[in-house]
Amino acid sequence: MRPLVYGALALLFVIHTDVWLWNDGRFILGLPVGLGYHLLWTAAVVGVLWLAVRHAWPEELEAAAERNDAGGQ
Amino acid sequence: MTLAVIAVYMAAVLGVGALSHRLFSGTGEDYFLATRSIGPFVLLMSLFGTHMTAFALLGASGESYRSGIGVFGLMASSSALVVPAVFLFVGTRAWAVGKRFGYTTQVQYLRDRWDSDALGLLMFAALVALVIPYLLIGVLGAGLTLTDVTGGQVPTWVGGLVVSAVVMIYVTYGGLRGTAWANTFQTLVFMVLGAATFIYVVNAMGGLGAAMQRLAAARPDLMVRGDNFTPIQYLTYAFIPLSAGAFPHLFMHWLTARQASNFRVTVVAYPICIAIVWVPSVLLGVLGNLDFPALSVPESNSVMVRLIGFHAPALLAGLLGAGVFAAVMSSLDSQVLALGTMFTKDVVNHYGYDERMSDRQQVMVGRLFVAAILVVAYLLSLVTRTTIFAMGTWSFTGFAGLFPIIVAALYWRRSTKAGAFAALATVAVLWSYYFVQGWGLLDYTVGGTGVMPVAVVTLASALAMVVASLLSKPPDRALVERFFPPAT
Repeated sequence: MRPLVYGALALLFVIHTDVWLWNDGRFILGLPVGLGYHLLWTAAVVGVLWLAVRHAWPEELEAAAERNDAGGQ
Repeated sequence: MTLAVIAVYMAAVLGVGALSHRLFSGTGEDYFLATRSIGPFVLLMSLFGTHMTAFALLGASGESYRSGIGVFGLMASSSALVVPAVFLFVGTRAWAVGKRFGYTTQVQYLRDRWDSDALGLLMFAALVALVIPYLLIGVLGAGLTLTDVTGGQVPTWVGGLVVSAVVMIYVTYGGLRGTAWANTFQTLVFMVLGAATFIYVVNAMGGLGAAMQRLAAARPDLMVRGDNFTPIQYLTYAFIPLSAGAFPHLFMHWLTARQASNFRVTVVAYPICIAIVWVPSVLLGVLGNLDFPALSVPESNSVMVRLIGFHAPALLAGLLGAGVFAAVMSSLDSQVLALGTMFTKDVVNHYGYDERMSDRQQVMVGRLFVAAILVVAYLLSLVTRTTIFAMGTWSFTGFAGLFPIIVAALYWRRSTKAGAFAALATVAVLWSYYFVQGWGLLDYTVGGTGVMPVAVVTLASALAMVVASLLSKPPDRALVERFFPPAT
């Protein structure tokens, strides 16, 4: 699942720069399409991050933090 | 009325700070890190409140006034992806290493990670130098807002003074727990008041759809990215939110989490919080062109305040002032506390006084540093005049350049202190060069290509880290295994 989630995050980064709507002056839901797209894109980010914390969470960190062989500050 | 609302708000913030003090145990760990006991909701609110500042509320609306709706995609939505990803991949790891080794600051970790005092000292200098302008954004924003919401009756220096004084009281009194609680309260305040202000003003303008259609007819250039932005600018501006991975104040907040799973809520809800704050800021900034079509650049930073003065009663102006103060103080408090903690832990303790100081004395030193930093920041704000947006961008550019060093420390076993030095030197040289080239120019890009300096600085820093690490002697095995223990 992790590769899928990471791939989705990378894809979202790529389609963030929406050159295909750059000069599009149409409106969607009362907003300019250049703004509406980014709101929908943000919603998609929430969905992928939800998948990340559900299925790609670094569970091993809790155990790593509790190791008692650190000897630090 | 406006001043009364703001005064009531300030009293409420002090009340929250005083309430949190009831849980204060008197130890250094409690003052500096709230004994690593913060739960998921307060973690989200304190991280978001710390990250959002006058930059979002005032800078974004001013920039939108000038450049249109593209500001949301340029600055907000890119943060909606990058910042939670930084929390997921960097914040959780930093939390784990902080808890395991008992760290309080980034410098403590980086000094140990590459076994270099000199590196720790240079990182300390770089972080302090970059936080100062970020602090000034808040103090300046508070001064401008109070002047604007009172119609010029209160001089600019008063707002900064009030904010600095209130922050000084609750940070020195409550430490990080007081800061986290006050941040939570203030973040809720500026989100709710921002939304309420937006709804009221937009209704007064005849509704969002009608107002946007009128604006589209008058200023179609503001409805598209067009010539206001370039795709390469969008792409390279996305490096700016990487700065969140190097902010010392966010690092400290990461360490306060009770457990790693407390980050889950933050990671998922962060983009929603960003949309709640930035969409109204951007839309009000753009719509300001209907009622105030010819504001200068400095005037445009207060376009939101002008809209409210024009459309809304004094009560709402006071509430907006309180909302902006909330955004300002929820960042300022964490920044000064982080700096105070760094001076205490990374300088006073590290260079000779660790054994000789009791917990109580450490807390006292931390408090004195917080007070001194606020006094210096306030005095600097009196002689600083620039746009809020430009100051923020340059500060964030420097922090983003330090991000590869943090990532290498957490993830790359083969990274060396030579790599870290090389990355730091690269950031210092390139940042200084671009700063000199671009200071005072609102739309500066590298050679006029549309490439934001932050992308060059960050990529060059990463490259320097990789090349210098590979060219230098591999780190000692014992050192590597200390931070990357073999699986058991």
